[in-house]
Amino acid sequence: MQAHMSSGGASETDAELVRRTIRGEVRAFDVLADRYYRAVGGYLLRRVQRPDVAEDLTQETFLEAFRSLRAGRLPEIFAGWLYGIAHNRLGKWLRRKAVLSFSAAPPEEIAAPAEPAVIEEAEAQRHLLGRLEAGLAELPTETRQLLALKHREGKTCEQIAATVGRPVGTVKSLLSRAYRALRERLGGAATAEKGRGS
Amino acid sequence: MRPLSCEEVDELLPWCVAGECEPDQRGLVEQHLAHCPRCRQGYGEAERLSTLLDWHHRESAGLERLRVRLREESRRGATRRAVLPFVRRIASVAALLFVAVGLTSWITPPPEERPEIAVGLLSGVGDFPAEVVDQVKGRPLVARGGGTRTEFLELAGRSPAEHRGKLLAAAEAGRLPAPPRVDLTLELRNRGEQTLYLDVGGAGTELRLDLSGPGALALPGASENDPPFLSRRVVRLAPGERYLLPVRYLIDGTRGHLRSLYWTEPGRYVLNVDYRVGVSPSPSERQLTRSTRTFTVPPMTIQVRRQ
Repeated sequence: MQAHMSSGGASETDAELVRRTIRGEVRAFDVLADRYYRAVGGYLLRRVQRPDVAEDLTQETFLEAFRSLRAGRLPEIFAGWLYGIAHNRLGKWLRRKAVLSFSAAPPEEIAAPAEPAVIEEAEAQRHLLGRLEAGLAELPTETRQLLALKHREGKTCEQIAATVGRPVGTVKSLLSRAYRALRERLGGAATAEKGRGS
Repeated sequence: MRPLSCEEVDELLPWCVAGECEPDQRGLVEQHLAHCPRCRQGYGEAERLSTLLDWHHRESAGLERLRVRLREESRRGATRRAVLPFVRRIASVAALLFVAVGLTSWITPPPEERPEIAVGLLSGVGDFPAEVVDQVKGRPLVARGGGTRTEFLELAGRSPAEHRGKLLAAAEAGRLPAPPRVDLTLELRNRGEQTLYLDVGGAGTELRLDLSGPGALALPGASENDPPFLSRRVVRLAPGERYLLPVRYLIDGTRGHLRSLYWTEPGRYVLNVDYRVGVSPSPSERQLTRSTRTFTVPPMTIQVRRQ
C-alpha cells in the first residue's frame, strides 16, 4: 500500500494525522478525508453503481472512522482500517435491502473479499476517477458546463438547451463528442475500436 | 423500420443510458444490441461513464458536506464529554430508584429507521394471497433463502455457440422460445404507518433484470405477451401488508418493449432486479402515474449446470 504523504498541501503521514485527530484536531481528519474520499467513494460506487448511495455510504464511513478515532481507537494502518469500515458499511447496506429472512443474500464476493482486494479495487477506482478528471480538463469550457448541468443538476438535454439558450441538437452533439472522448480516455475498448474503424 | 448501424447506435447509447431515447429508437437500439457484442460492450462503457460522471460532479460537494458533518460531530462530542459526568450521576440515582420501585415493564427500543416499502426476492412460487393465486398455478415453493440457486441447461448436444446462434435465428424469425423458467417472487411489504397504493402494470411500470455471466444473452421480444408485472391492477397495501409479484420467466422491460434473457452456457451468473412501479398514499391514477419509485433487490447468484 502506498504511503500517502502529500495531498491538499499536507505533508504529514497518515499515522501523524491519526494521532492529531485523536488529540481532538478536526482539521487533521480533514486532510485524511481529502486523501481517501475519492478512493473510498470510488470503491463503494463500483460496488453499488449508484452515486447517491455511494455518497451516503462514503460519508457514513468517514463519520464512523472519525468517531472511533475520537474515542481513542488507534488503527495500525489507517487506510486498511478505513477500507474495512467502508466494506462493513456496504455489507450493512446490502443486508438492509435484504430485509426478509428469505431474501437473496448478497453474493460471496460482496460479502467477504480479502482486504488487499478491497484496497486494490479502491486504488484502481481512484486512478480511474483521476483519468476522468484529466479528460474533463481537456474539454472546452462550454462542454464542461453542459456536462455539469447534466450530471450535477440532472437536467435533460431540452432543459439544458433552454438554460444555455442553444438548440437541443447542438447540446446533444457537443455532449456526444465529449462522451466519446471520455470513453476513449477511460480505455473504452468498444469506442477505441470504432474510432480506429472510422 | 430500418435497422441501425453500429455508428448510429454508438451515437444513441448515452441517451439510452440517460433515459432520453425515444421509445422507437430504444427498441431499435435494443434490437441491435442483441446481435452486436461490440455495441453491447459500448453500452456497458456508456453506463459506467455516466455513473462516474455523476459521481465526479458531486464529489466536491460531498467532501464539503462531510467537513460540515465532521464539525457538527465534533461539537456534539464536546457537549457529550462536558455533560457525561453529570448524566452519569443522574443515571446512578435513576437506576437506584428503578430498582427500589420495582419497575418491570418492557422498555420498547426506539423504532429503527427503515424504508416505507421493503422489497425482497423469494426463490420459488406459492403461498400467495387470493389475488395472485390464479396467475401462478402453484408449483410448490422450491426454496426460501440462500443467495445462490442452481439451474440446469439442456443443450441437446449443441455447443453454447450453436445454442446462441439458434436463439438469435429464432429472435430474427420472431419465434423466441420461452426463456428459463425461474419462478421467483418479488415481495413488496408496506413497513410504513399509512396505507399505500401500488400501480402494478401502470404506465410507469418497468421490470429490469440484469443477468451477467459467461453466456448471458438478452433478446428483444418475449414468448409471454402479458407477463404478471404488466397485468394492470391497483393494489391497496395497508401497513404491514405485502404484495407478491410472480416472476416466472426471465422476461423484463416495459409495455411494448419486452426482452427475454437466457443463459447459454454453464457457469456462474448474477441476477440483479430493479422494479419500477407507481406508489402513492392516494389511489388516484394521476398521483400513481406521477410518483413512480424504483426498488432494487440484492443480487442473486445462479449456478447453471449442464443437464
